[in-house]
Amino acid sequence: MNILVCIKQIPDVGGKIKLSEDGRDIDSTNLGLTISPHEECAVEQAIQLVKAEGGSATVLTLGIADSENQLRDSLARGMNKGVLLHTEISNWNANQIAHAITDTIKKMETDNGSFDLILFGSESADRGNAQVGILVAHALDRPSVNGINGLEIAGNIALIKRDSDEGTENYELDLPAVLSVKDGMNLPRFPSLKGTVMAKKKPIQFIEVQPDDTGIGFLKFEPTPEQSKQAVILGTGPEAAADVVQVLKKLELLR
Amino acid sequence: MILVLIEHRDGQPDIPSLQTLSFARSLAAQTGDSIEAVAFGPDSLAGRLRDHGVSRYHSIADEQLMAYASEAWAVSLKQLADLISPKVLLAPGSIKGNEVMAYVGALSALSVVTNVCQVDAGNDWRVTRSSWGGSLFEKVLIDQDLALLTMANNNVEASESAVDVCDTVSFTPALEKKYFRAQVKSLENPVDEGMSLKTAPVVIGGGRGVGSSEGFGVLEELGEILKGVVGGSRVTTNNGWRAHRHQIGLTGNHISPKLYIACGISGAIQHMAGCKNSDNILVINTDENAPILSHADYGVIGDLHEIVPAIIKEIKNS
Amino acid sequence: MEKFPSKAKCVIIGAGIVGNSIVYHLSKLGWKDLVMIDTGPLPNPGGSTGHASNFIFPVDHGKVMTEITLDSLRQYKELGVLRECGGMELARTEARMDELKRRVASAKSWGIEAEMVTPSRAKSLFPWLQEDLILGACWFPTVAVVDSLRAGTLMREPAQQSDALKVFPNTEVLDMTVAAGRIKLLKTSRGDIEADYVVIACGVWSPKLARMAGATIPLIPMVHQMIDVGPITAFEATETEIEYPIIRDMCALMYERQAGRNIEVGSYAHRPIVHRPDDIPSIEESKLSPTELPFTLADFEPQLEDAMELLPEMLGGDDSEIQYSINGLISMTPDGMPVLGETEEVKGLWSASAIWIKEGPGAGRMLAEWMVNGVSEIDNHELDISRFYPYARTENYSIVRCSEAFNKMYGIVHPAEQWESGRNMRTTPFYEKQKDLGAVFFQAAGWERPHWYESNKPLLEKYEGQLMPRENEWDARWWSPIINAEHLALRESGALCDLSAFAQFEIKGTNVVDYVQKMALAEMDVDIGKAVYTTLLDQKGGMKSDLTVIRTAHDTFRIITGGADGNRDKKWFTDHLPSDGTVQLADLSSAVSTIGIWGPNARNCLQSICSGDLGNDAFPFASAQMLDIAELPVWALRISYVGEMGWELHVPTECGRYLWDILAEAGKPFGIIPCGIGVYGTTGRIEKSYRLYGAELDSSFSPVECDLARRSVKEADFIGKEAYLFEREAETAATLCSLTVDDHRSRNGQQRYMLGGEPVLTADGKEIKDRKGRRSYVTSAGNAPSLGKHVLMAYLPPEYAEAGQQLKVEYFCEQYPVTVGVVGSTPLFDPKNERMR
Repeated sequence: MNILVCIKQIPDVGGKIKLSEDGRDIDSTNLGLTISPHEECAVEQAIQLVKAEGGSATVLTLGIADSENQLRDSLARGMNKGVLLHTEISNWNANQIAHAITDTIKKMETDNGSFDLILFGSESADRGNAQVGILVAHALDRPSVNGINGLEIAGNIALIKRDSDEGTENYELDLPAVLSVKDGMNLPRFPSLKGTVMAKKKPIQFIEVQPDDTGIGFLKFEPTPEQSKQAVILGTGPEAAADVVQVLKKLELLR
Repeated sequence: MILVLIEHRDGQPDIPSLQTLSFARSLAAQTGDSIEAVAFGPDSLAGRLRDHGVSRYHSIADEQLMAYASEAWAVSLKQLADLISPKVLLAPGSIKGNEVMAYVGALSALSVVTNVCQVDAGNDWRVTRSSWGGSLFEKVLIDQDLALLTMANNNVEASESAVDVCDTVSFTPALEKKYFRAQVKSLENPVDEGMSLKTAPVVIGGGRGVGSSEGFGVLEELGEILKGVVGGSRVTTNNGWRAHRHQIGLTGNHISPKLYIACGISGAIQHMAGCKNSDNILVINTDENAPILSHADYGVIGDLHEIVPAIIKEIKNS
Repeated sequence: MEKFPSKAKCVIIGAGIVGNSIVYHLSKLGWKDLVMIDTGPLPNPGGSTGHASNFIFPVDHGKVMTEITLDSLRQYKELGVLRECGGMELARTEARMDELKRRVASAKSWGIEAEMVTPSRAKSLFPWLQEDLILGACWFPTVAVVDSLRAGTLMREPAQQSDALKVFPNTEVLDMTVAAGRIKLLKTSRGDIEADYVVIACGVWSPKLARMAGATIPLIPMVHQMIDVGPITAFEATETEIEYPIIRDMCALMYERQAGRNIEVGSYAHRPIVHRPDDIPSIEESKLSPTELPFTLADFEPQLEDAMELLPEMLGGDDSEIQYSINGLISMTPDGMPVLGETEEVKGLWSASAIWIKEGPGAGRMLAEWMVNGVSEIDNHELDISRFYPYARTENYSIVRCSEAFNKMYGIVHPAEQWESGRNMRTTPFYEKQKDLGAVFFQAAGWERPHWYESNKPLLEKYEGQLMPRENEWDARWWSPIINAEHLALRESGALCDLSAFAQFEIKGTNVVDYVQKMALAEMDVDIGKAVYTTLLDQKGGMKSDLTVIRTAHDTFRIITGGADGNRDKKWFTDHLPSDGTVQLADLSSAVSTIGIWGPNARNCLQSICSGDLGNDAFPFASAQMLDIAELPVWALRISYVGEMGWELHVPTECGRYLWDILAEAGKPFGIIPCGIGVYGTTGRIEKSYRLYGAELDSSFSPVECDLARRSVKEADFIGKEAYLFEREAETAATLCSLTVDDHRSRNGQQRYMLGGEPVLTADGKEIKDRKGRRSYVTSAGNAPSLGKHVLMAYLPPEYAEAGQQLKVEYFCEQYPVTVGVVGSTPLFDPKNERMR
């Protein structure tokens, strides 16, 4: 089984985000870099599938040269090889990203055969457009489900569960397919020491890319109004139990 | 004209769709457009839609579209839009709304703006969307004949504002088989099988204040009564009071229950990283200065070993 | 929460282990009206305490740091937050094996259990060790892990409960106001508060806080990388935080420590990563906490491999995951010691900074005692913030020094080790001349001082056979036989020595005699021109300093003290000046350059260029006069630290170069050579049993014990007099003695020379403890070339303090026979001081 997982490097922000002066970027001076939890689950899913079914798992990102660290992190967890679509231009929109990824996939598939599965996170942790997966699926003319919570492979079919407001939807998609994964589908592993050391030696392909001029224009970020919580103190000691029960009832956790 | 995608359950528009209509009205107030709606559903929706300011309802009642199929829905919307040329196609920010709109964008080679909070419809349209998990606003510029937008969740209240008439127009899209390659095969009602820290509606967390492995007994008891799951802070897993897989926090589980009951947990930053997405946090702690209280909704000051049994007793009595 | 007060006796900023310890001890000592604030929440406000690995290895080569650590261990134990798990330091190389042996010696000197163990014993203590990687280990059974956050809470609460303390978390200090040189008011996010005292216990933020009041705390935050790996199958059965010993893989500059089901791996091997206090993110902006910065894997990668190599089974599996990793901020200082005490710039503003978990409770007690009583039980001079001269207080100085020190954290650091950074910042007018002579410069108080001159190499031939050559590389490191050749030349004809690193103060005023009397143990109301060597005592009779005081006029005294002690002594003198301004202190250190000329030919040489009468009657020992030397006006002081006739010649700095030229030229016919501090500071003084502050002398010893007490006690009152009088009458617990090494031969046949700090043992190898619990150790060691002996100084209890007493000294785990030469201050060389007269 050949799997491609697409991830995106983002600053690992704390409780409050500091913006650059022009508002176009996050001030990440003191921040680490990471990927979204959704993407971590996608990576975990790929590693588990390849372990069970054999094949190879490739991790791809589009970003600045430093994004290599996020590829290495995924390689340390168990992905087999990496692809870095390198650009020093930030704030690509969803269409531009999808175009670059699609072009790359097409080339890679011409050389190495088709990916059975292409996985995304259900949305990136930064701008969260929740579109790239579908745009790529459409461009490749493959079926797609966004934000899946469960995946099983039965032969050439992907059995998919997705939670919606109505309940859990079941899908059966023919492979090859494009899926975007929701956090919580699995418990992503951390990289092991051994994996981290080995990741240094795994191959990463570097490809230069440029954004085309499609899609919406990004202007800037702005802070949202701050919200701080003031806990309602229900009481002191066991006497507060009755008030606790009232809260449980209010939250409809007790009838 | 602004065209709004309506999702419905049992013939009634759902709340996010009604919120989307409220938003559409405020946008229409800027542009002077009328509001039309489209739903994959019956004629009977028209009444409620009229109450919410929709002057024309496009009903797509094709039987094969009643089970959700993202691509097929999107192709249908695209065909309708091509026919009636709206200025804006607006959808709720639901899983389906976002998914269908992404496909509409792909089909029309247009951009979609998701999580929209506000539109300044001047010469060029400046759209404010929710970004970074709600931590930031993002301003974008759109310059398309058809604006494709999905709403940020719970951004506006659903309110009524009736118009005189709502026409119902039936629309039948032309659909190929391949558009149904991702269609809901069956729908299960949510069941609480295999409930975990991540999925449980109630999580009870124990910290240093629990004191021992045995101390978790009362938390387990409360967990059973509330159909919740018990987890622990890193201290408790490090001390072996709790299995490592039950850890809530940065290096453990990230939870988002309806209610998190944090017992004897002071609220180290690492712990908060794992529980901050809880809808509600109830803290039981001896220290009224405990930092977790500044993230909590409710607090009880005192010893968990006295308070938790009292709560259990109170639940049993009531 | 309580209402934020507008006034307090003392505000403690910082609720980490240090701040909590301070409020505990201040309230225990009776202070009330204390307010503690912290920007962060409780119990973990987000500073370094919150991410510390919390283990404590008690042994340090330094005595005071060890004493503070032992005090901290005792306090943690009392609080019930300590778990003894033992610890091992591993050696992968022979050099490290030697270093571990030196650790064992230090452990013995300070009374801590330690033993060298074989690789297989090490493996039995920690069964997952790759035993063939190591040559051996040092086992410390008393190594412990503590819960420092809990300790903080347990120390804070009693102070709160006794109403001595109010605590305000989530309170940020915005600014400080100083009035007439004294701290007055803090502006905080909860409002303004006036305070008599403010303690800055803010760890990595301390410099930023100090700056608000115009004070400086020399400290720089640096990154220490740590990862938490798990789950470790081997620890599955473990019910507690830690069951197995902590491993310090010294050669890899790393540690591994069980943490419940996980193992923490920390490193001091990565590149030095400095993080300026102004750049530390706020609590809100931080992903974890402000002091847990994002992990930079590239810096840690080589250490991953070292760790896996050492613990292959435990760390090499697929399921040993890196679950948490940080670039943790720690406080570093230019000399690696904490920064304690009242700031020099602002009265009432105290620093309690750069204190690690292992020192927290002890340092807190020390500071509280110091604030309340003026003195602390444990000697504090090495921690005293006023040890830093202005040159050492810039942020960039801290950055370069700490960057150099970082990788030495687990390094093998020689007692005489010299720094490469922050050099040539203070040079004397003689510097270029000295460089031309091949001077090997050592640094003292920032000054570049020749330790010996390569130009004196020809003397090696002359004195061959008397040079006590060192065969062992460690003994010979930062040493040269030229030092001994210069020494012998000094004794034979004479030598010139650059002494410009001295600190000199002029004290002047109408009440000057009363003031100087109050400060010094010796009688100060002496004739003009008289020089007096005296000790200064602290309030409890411990030694604060030893120095020379010269009365230069009816209302003026000159103080000359060692460079290393100068800034601290200056603060001590300044703090005690009368508030009415009737006595003033001027710091002349930079205004004066000094050359010493000593030896049998010193008088004739000087006389050849000086018209004044230099005879004993006209210019007696221990006196000072103005002299015309060639064209220069020179203030000459007849005194000696090397046991020879001669003078210190003091001139304005701008005249220094000229003086050097005159003396060098005049000295030639008399065989007078330049000599380095190797002679002045070690060989010359140790033959004369002269004491050195910081080695023999500190506040934990009394003048009686080091035999610097005077025959009679002056009538005038002075600081520490009461304690001094008591001590004179009491039975002496220990007396400073000079010992000589009888046999230098080690088991492998090498001649070994101790360098100081070694334990002194009984003839049958037992540790020696005096009745105050202090152990005997070598305070100073040095060659005595004129005696052909290696001399050691040590305090010995009465039963051993007897000339001729046979004892042993342990050096690199071998014991060498030594004999007590003299008890007290009688010199071994020229006991009647005839050469100086």
